[in-house]
Amino acid sequence: MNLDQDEKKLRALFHDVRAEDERDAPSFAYDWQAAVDRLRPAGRLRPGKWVLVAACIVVVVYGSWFFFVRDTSHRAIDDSGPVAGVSPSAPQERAPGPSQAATVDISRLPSKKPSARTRHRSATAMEASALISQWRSPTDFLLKFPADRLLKSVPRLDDSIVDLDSTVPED
Amino acid sequence: MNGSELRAELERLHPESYGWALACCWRDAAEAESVLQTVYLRVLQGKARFDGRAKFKTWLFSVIRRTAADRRRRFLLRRLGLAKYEIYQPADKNVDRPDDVVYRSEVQILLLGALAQLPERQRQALQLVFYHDLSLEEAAGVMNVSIGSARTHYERGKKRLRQLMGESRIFDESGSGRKEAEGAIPRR
Repeated sequence: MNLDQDEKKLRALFHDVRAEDERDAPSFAYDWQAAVDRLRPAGRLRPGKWVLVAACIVVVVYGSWFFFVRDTSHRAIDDSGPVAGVSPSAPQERAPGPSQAATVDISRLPSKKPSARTRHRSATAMEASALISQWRSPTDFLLKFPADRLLKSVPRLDDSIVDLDSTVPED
Repeated sequence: MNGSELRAELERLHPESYGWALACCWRDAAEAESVLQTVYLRVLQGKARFDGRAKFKTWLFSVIRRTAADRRRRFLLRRLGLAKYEIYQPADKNVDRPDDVVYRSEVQILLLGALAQLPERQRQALQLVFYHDLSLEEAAGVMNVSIGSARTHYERGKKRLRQLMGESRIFDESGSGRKEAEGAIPRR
């Protein structure tokens, strides 16, 4: 048996198989694209989008702080009134003593002006309360009837019958 | 090698890579395609990087072989984990799919059947030398074994393949056996 011939035949057989395989091979573009898709799953964000998400988070956090924390702190200062140990007319010079540290000159404190938002809210609340005091029910007239005067006042014995009749409904 | 060069080289070798992936996956076409996609993914991720120490083809084939082995190992582990929940019936690797039976010649079917009976290393050595026209040194590089070991696998594989295909008279002097076998089922 000639070994060289065997090898040639084997090689020829393998090349036939290879030709068949290469004909059935999937396209490179498809496999490459599949790999690219696996590299970047659909749910994953691109780097540019991460920046956008971070910016949104910063805006939300800052907005929350602005609306809740900052406003609450102003209200707390406004509602607290005179603080214990703080006297508006405290003398500036006082003999050194143990209570000096607890006494603060309020005129030196920064002015606690309400913010524009707080002022606006107060004005709106007052306006709303005024409107409520003037409010009348649109069906208020249904509760009234012509003999209202008889029910609301006690007639005297010497009252004129004419006057009394005028209060009775004609029907 | 920059990205575009790498991609061009991969594209040029794609059909051959598919053939080698088929050989590493027991000729399972779907698995071979998954292996190729995983290899491309590793290249894109930078996990598989060509350092220029060997030929590009040798390096790529080595990555394909390792990826296929890794996937096979994971599959086996998964199967072991699920073994208690299912009745496992091992598939016969020598059974060809219907399209293979129709489109491949009888000689090719004989060759593939004989190859499937060889140990993995011998099969890979023969595939690399005869199918991909690599030298024994390059085949040893792909298989990650010494040249001497690759030569041993190659010689033993060739001898065993000759024995397995001896009955089909493909290796007789005249070569008429091959013609007879090819004539049995006309090629497409």
